[in-house]
Amino acid sequence: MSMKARELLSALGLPSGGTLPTLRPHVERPWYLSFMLGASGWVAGVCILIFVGVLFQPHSRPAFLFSGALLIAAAWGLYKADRDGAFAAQLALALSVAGQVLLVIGLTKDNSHIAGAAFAAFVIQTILVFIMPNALHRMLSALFACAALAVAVRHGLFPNIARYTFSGAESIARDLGPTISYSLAAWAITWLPVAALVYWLIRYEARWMARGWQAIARPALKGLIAGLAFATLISHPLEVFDWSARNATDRGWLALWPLLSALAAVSAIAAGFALRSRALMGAGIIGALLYTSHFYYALGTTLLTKSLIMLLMGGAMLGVAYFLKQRGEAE
Amino acid sequence: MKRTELDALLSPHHLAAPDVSRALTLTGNRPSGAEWRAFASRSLGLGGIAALGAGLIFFIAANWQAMGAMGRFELLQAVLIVCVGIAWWFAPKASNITAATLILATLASGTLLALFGQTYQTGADVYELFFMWALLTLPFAIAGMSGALWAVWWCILNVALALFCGWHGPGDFVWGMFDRWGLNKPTALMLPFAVNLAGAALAYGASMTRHSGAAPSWLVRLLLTFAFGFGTSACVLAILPEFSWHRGFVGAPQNLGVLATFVAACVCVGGFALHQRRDVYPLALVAACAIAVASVYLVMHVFPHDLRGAFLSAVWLIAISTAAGFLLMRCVRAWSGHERVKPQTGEPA
Repeated sequence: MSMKARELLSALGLPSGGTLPTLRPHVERPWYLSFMLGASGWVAGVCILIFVGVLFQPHSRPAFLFSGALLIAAAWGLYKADRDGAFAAQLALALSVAGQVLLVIGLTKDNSHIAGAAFAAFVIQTILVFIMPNALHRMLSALFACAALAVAVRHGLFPNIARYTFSGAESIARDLGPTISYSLAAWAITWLPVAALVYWLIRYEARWMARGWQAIARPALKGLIAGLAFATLISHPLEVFDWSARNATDRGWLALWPLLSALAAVSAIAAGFALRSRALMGAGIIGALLYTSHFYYALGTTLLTKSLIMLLMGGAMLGVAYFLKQRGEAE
Repeated sequence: MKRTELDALLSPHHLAAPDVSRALTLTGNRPSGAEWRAFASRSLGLGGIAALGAGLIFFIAANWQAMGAMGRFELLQAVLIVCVGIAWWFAPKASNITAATLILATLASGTLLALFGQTYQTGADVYELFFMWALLTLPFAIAGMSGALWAVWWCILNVALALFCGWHGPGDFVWGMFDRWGLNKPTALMLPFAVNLAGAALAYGASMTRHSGAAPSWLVRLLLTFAFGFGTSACVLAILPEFSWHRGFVGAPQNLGVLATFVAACVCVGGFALHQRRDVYPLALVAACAIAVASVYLVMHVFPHDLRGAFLSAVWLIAISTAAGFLLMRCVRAWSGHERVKPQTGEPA
């Protein structure tokens, strides 16, 4: 046990002698290794999905549900049986990915509405955050739960814009009218709950740590922050760089979405700072830069309007930065 | 003490929330009010500079008819001069302001070049704009001596290289002037690979000198990522003969050369990282790229393209990523003590 740990225990009035249970030296897995393992697990999961799909050829809803549940149960069993085993963990992640896809297909087989499928995926991911005994899996599940929620809310509440077509802009303008209040409300309904949950988890970190929820809450918080950082990119990848929209300016204030998403990415940077996590701050910075370039290509309003918005924002940010610096120096 | 260590330390004691809160504060895991203010001030400052730069680019791209061409030139030149002037004024005492204004000057220079092309219809390709942009703003990067400024400059250069070698490549008029050997696309992509690798080596070397502020560890990682991104793309193209178009199969020996060069570079970078024992990231990058290239090769040329292929691909990916993860985590554990001792200059607080 390091001196720092001993000092902390003494400061908290806890025994810090050698009779304490021996602590294993804990080294956190760097973000880039988690990324590599997660990406490999997902690709392997797709391969398993193809293998299972071709081998067993499930056609009916029960067959999809059964095979999906079986694969997820196998993943859970592998995690439980060998908590420290790297191979078992990777295999379990791949099995779980394949199982999740089969479950979603099974749950929405007779209903082609995308909102239903997304909501099913959201429910599955949320449950997996709680039951899968693995930090990487919990983090990925939280991240994809965010994306699934975004798709479900947008396609469920605003079906008229729920079209991944290049000419969708016309129907948006005709059916709903892309007012600023509508655009803001649609975005807020999707992402404010996630931001609120992140705030709550950071604000009451001590409370859930005292209750022993670290194993679930810690990776879930990381996944939610990553979700905030890459919110729109994950949930609406086909709309992000939709350069071909006809009558594109009809989309009006929907062009604000990437800018709002950039704000979400900025809040992810702040959350990363609160957790002292450089990786999460880096994710937020990358997200913010991507959304700014997205804002350029989001053809919802004229570039002149966009430039004015950016210039005003830039000026305001510099002004607040100067004010904060002056105040800090005064104190 | 990191949060995960704190979790491990405190969980056997079943502390109440106020005690846990105190532990979080005592271990420095909770930013103080002053730290939050400094963070907000710095972030808003950088964000404001980025927003002003983006706003300027958007404004010129909007091609606003109410403002004539001369007016736009004057506006951009004024911004450029003011930025350079502010940077000059604050240069010795406030490096943050110098770097921020030079970043804005760098963005303004690119916008000025774009405006020049837009106004006079020079017919220049986009990569020429980016090359010129990189060339003209190199003095700013050198003068600013800031990691962020160098990162912006390298991004501009990489866009130019990606367009020149990846998008255009062999067959382009300018490329043909330099290419006397009939290079194919994968070989062309080795140029940005080499440039970024050299950049990473330079940045690493600079981080050991008094100029370490201009070459933080994240810049070295960024350049390595660029380099291996290009290298992996080149190798994947070399493996897929149908994509390495131009000159038929005359390029086959070149493809072998590309693969051999990439393997040699991976060995060198990996060997150097193992020797230095400072950062596992280069090793992880080498492992990830090797897995990607090997997987594409196996799927395309070794595994059968049927049910067995899907199964073998899954098993291969799980096995190789597990092995890589296991070995890399061993390095992380073995080197973590060393990493804590070594100061990371220029990293964000």
